Amino acid sequence: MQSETRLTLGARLYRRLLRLYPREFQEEYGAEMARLYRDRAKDEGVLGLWLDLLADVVRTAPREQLTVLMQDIRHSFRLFSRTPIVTATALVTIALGVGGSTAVFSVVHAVMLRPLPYPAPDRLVELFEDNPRANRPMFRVSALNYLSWTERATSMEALAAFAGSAATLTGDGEPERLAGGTITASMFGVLGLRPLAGRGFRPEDERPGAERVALIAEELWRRRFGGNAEIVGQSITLNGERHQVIGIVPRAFREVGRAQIDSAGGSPQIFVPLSIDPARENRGNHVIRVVGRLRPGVSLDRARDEMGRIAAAMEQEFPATNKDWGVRLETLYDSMLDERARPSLLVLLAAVGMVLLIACANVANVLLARGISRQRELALRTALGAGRSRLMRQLVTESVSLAIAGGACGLVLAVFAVQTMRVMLPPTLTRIDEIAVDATVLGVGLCLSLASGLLMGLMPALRASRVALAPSLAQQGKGVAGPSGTVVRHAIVVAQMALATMLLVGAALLLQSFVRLQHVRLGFDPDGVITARVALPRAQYPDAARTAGFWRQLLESLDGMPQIQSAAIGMTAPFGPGVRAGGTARSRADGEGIGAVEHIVSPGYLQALGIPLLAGRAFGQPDGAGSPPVAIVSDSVARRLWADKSPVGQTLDWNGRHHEVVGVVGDIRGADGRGCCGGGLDREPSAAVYLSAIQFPQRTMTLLVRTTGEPSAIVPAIARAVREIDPAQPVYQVRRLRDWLDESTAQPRFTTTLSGAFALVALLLAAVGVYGVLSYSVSQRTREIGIRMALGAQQQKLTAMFVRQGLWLTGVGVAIGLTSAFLTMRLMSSLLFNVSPMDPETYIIASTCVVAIAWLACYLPSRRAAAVDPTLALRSE
Amino acid sequence: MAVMVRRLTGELPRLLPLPQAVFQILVALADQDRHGYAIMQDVAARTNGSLKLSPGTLYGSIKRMLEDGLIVEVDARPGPDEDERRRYYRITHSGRDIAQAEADRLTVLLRQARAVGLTSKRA
Repeated sequence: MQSETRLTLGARLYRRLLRLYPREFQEEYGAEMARLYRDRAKDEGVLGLWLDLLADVVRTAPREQLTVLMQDIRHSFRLFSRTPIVTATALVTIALGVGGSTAVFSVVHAVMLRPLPYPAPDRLVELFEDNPRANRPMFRVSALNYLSWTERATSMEALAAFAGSAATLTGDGEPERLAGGTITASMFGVLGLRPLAGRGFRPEDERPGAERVALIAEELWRRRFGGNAEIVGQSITLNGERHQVIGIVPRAFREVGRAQIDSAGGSPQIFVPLSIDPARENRGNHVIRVVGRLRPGVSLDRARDEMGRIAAAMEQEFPATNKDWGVRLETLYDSMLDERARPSLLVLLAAVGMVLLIACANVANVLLARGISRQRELALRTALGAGRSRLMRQLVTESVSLAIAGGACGLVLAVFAVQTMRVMLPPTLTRIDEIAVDATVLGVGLCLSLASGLLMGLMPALRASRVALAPSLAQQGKGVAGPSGTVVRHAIVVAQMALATMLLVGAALLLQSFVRLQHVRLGFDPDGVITARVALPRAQYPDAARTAGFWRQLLESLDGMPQIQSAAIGMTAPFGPGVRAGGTARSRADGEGIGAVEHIVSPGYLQALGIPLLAGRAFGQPDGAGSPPVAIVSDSVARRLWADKSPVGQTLDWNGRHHEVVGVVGDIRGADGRGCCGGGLDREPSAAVYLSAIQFPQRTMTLLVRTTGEPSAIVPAIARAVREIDPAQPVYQVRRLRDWLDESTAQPRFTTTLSGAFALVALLLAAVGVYGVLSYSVSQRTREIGIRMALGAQQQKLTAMFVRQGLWLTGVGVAIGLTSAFLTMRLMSSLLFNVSPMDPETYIIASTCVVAIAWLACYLPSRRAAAVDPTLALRSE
Repeated sequence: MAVMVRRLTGELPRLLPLPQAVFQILVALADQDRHGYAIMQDVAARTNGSLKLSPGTLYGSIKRMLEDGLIVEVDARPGPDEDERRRYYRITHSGRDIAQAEADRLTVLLRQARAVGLTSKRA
């Protein structure tokens, strides 16, 4: 008796286990297999039997499942090939959704999600100096403050400093201007990296007068030195001076100094030691960037508290330079990513996700309609013994196969989209060259396809498999939607319209913002100006006289050319690369200081850029090397320091040195900036102080040439002029000023273009959706139309009836879309310039567009309804 | 003596070579109709226990063999004592043909192996 109970229990347990087989298999052989279990259990030991049975299920259940799956997939493809146009439309729709999503994800993945290539990257921080009162948030650090921090900070394991520093490599081959950096010896320890070959810098390399050494980046090592490790220990000529190559740094090193001064988006290739001579440094001179590694277990907040205390103490100690300056800590991950890139990428990800949803909804609607017209086939299969779950499985397999096929096309699309996007993205964006459709991205694309297949297939499958056998067979294959089927299809259209409206509102806001950005007052005239940079090596130009001589000769030579209107040099061109030193301007030594950007420029700078002179004079010959220092201030400096009197003739205290103010000029945009290039167009013009390049000659300068014709045509003449004076000097970063300007708006342009494209695709898909629903509705109601027409209904009224139906759905969708947009668009406000996220005009325009397109999509099928011949319609029934 | 390799028609040739389980089931059914457990026992007995068909393999093979028409399910029971509830299977003409073709194929293989001394004494 007991053994019989055990047998029954065991058999029951085994039946449970058999659920791992396809249901059909279970129903067919489950009872037999359970009986077989009982037979064997009588003859064999329990443990051995169960081990055997478990192994059997693990081995054979997947095979049986796969057999059914392959059958269903084959069936699906046979079915799809019977309706090629519908299938192709569905494939294109899914491909657009999955392809777009995957492409945007690949950017987000490379730029935002991948951890930094350093050990324990979450302990890495960047330290900024911060002066909100002078509008200097997250500013560069003064070298002396850095030294003080290294002595005082206990929450940091180590600190390291770096600065951008381009170098001219001469020797074998063409002189080459390379982006580079100066780094402290502690950099390797902070980042946790080792050189690929050779050694890193040591503290003794930083000492003034030490033997000149350099590290080269892996990229340069492979490109220029053929990956030959023997370069370590040899000498190369940088900026005219011999440097011994002591090591090769790995790729990960390029993150240091990316988006750096002078690198203009290129990754640094050459590193030399950053030596700080406390005797020659000015604590108010903010030029370096500082990274640190937190001690294990120290939180970012604790480190922030400590650095805050250190900064407060230093304000007391060094009031002249450190008043109002605090310290700001950000994780290296956050500081590397442009703060505008993150919201922009997230907005795009949301937008493309919505496109994917609309695409799924469209295909779901097609499948729903097809499911309804397939009711007879499904009823037949039910009659032949297929259970509901079997039909569900078949239908879901169909939609998933469709989605995977569409997704595969989408992934191909994504590969091309990614290539296009890489060109469009701002070159200063971190890790842009790592954007690729890699294994992770492919995996995500596949998951998206799978999820889309389930999303669009589940509802139609649930509905279609719920067939009522008798009525379906009686319908002779016509199929009816039934009231609830119509409700589902209509709800899908409403949802699509709502999503499309939201996307269109978002895209329209971004477009408005972008247009306003393009029309912002620059304060100078960028057209017709070409910029180029020349960096004179210290070795050949050790003093001010020789440096000034080179520039004077060059400007004289250029001024003599007929096609040149004016030529000038400056530390930077607006929005272009170059060092942007900051400083504090005061009207008297003890007065309140304001932060301003320093421009060291030649006399023709204002003219070449078309910056208006508001009072006084421009720099000229009287402002020579021996005469008292002069300065020109920008309008905002003038108004804040000398509100009630003319600044001309006043004395300006600039970083503790006195200058006579000789002129006032208009404010210009693009003069400040954190990255390699100038600030964005959306940033207010910064206060600026102009100093004379004759009085303060600099070795690295930007040449600005305004021409009468096409600016690029003058480039060979400029290069020739430089070569005639010094053939060893390369002219680099030769670009039209307009190009630098365009590059600074690359981010909003990218976001606007992409979101606009997504909104258009969404609108198109939603229109196709409403078109499909109405077409279907018309075809289902042919008989009703026939009766109405036979009873005297007018064609126009019939058309209007259907158009009304479609527009009603659209109206509900648009209303929901506008409300959702109203509630969510504020999340996008950081991306908008001079446009309110609630801007009523934008909402009205966007909804009008949606309604207009929807009207067209409704009108076409509705007109077909009016064209029905009543006699034919009635007879066909 | 040369072995005649049987000519198969229709879909049958693509089934060769037969999986071992399928061949053994056909052999088990060659002389009489059997139910699943009986097939299992017969195979085990003939192979001295070295081949034990597991339930998943047995019924997975039976399912495919039914679809391919190598066997059929029969209502008639071979003897009066047999269990009425069990499902019995019978080999079809096609099943017999393909089993013979497989046996021929194996014979040819065996002969080739034997000719070059690749078989043990017992074979």
